[in-house]
Amino acid sequence: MLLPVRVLEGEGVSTGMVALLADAEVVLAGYHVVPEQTAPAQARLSFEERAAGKLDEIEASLAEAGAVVERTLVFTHDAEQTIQRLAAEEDCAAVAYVNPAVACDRVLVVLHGDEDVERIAGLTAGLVAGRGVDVGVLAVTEPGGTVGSGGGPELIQRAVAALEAGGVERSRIHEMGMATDAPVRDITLVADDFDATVLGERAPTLRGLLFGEFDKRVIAESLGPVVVVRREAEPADGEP
Amino acid sequence: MAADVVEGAPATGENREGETPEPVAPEVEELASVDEVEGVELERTIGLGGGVAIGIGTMIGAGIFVFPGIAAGRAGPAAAASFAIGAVVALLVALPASELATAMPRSGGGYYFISRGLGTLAGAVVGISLWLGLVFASAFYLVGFGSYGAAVLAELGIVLPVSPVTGLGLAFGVVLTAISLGGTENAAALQNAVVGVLLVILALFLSYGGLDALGLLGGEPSTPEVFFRFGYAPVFTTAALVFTSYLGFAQVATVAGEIERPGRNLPIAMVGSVLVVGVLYVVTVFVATSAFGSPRLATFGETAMVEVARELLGTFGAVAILLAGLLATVSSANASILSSSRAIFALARDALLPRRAGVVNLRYGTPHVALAMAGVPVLLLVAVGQVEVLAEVASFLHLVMYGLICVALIVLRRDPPAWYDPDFRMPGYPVVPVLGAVASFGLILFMQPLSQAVGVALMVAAAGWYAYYARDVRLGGAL
Repeated sequence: MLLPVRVLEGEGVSTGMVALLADAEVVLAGYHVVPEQTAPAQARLSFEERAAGKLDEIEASLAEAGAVVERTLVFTHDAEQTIQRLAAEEDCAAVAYVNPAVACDRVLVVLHGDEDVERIAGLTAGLVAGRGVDVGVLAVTEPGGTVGSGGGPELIQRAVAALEAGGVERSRIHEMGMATDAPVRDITLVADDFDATVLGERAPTLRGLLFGEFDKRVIAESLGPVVVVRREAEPADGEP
Repeated sequence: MAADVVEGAPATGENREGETPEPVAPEVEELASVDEVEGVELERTIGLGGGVAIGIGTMIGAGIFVFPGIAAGRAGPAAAASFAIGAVVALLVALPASELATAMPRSGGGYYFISRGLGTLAGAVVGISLWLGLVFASAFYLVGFGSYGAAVLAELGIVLPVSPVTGLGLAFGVVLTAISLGGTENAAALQNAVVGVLLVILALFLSYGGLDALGLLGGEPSTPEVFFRFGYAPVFTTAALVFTSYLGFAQVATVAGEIERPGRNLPIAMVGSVLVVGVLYVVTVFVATSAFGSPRLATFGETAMVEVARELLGTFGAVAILLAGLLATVSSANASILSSSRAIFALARDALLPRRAGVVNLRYGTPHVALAMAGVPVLLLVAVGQVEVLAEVASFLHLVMYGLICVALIVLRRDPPAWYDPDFRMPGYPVVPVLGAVASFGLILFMQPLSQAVGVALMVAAAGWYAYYARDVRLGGAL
């Protein structure tokens, strides 16, 4: 799990977030975005100490909760490039985006059919199993959108099975379905009742290119932390 | 080589305030997208397109939008040859600079190569010259901007009692510096787009103008003018003047520390941008002198291209070139101010300037001291407003650096230290770097005495600063 934190802009890791990640292997990536006027090396000279101190605190709180933490500090012009590079380099299955949360009692899993349901549900189970956390499974169908072969109910079934296989009690899993033409807004409305949201990264689309990727928009609109499960790297990618 | 050179050793010594040079990443992979220094990662985010745009964006403002009229007045149609000479000199230097940049892809460009290849004194003089050279260049671009702004006002029929050139240049200098201080995140993307638009406008305009000049569009071929109408010597003095149009490729090297896959992207961006602008410049002058003949062109001064466009394409053409000129001169000035601040940072990192010169403020994330050290002298020089002197001093200071880059390459190739492992090895060694050095130093001889005097004085002052402030700092041979 990659946990990027804008470490010098007052961004911290909330208690709910620490609770969510307590059972995870976390790559804690403190980063600082420098404007074009500044060389990253230059920002490092001025801010390294401060950033490292902040990162120490976060690392300690995560470790205290039980997470296995590895950390790094990056100065960059481009946060997204850094996050994607680190996630690939460190082989992280998901990226956890920081947002405040007081607790971690209810987690929402969002499915819209384009993603690997078993992977998302399995990863969620790894985070919450045996911790008394309720999991809401929300299948979103869009008119004209891509929904898995069997539609919403089939997605939910597969997710529930994977969650149970991962050790989540059936009684804690709650099924939800929703048809909407404004998925970002409606997902975040549902997510407001939960402490954190897990969703799958979508394949890049032209629409995403124009209006911002789906997951980024959900992150921006959500009040709580969002875990984005990365798509499995395609074998033909050729990247080292 | 100097005796203080120890292979691969870190830089040492203290300046007057007891500051020592900062360590840098020990090795940079050819395809690196990140550097790691003592557990901290520095992301490389400028791709090939961004690198080329920095090079072209910095250069295109001067060669096309400021110089054609001035150059034609001095050399006649042979001004095209002056631009071609400039392109050849720039290429002779771009090749060695590319090799050095792939061996040392760090902030500071030419300063970094020379301080590591030829020792600290040469490095300090070049570093300070680079900073000031970019200051002169920025001032020159801003005066060019002022001329275009004034032309816009004239076009709108607004008549002012005093020439608005200096005032507009100053005002925009203040705006640019203020924007830089505030920090931007997408200005580079915008600049890339601007460069793309400029290239399209110019390609269309020059193709049309070129065909017209050759008489292929049905009209009379333009009156053949004697090519060397002022003889051969002005071709070289003009080349020395217009060389400011080729300074941009070295700006690519000043951000070398931020370029992705430096082993591949740096050489392509540096050599490629020189080739592109070189061709554009030569064609531009050809079109311009064909449209008007050089004596008339000269009377149009800095905004001659607007009149050329008007002649060829009517008011629409004039407006398009006016806008393009405003964009191009701003993008050149902006890129130069930023590079200048990078150069100051490189000097401060190596303890040749006080560390606080490179400090970054937390609120805006920008190096406010360095930006002020670049922006304030720029404004002073804009107020002076002597286009030709500004251009020549900028060229002078860069040409000294270029000559020394060639020398540094020869020194490093003859006796390579253990760390010297460039990903790109230039073809044509040793002939090309020797020619590059001779040509760079030679071009300086063709400048006006005033420019030469100012250039020499600045370099002596730089050496004096080094002797006073940082005599004990040792950078030579260290990576």
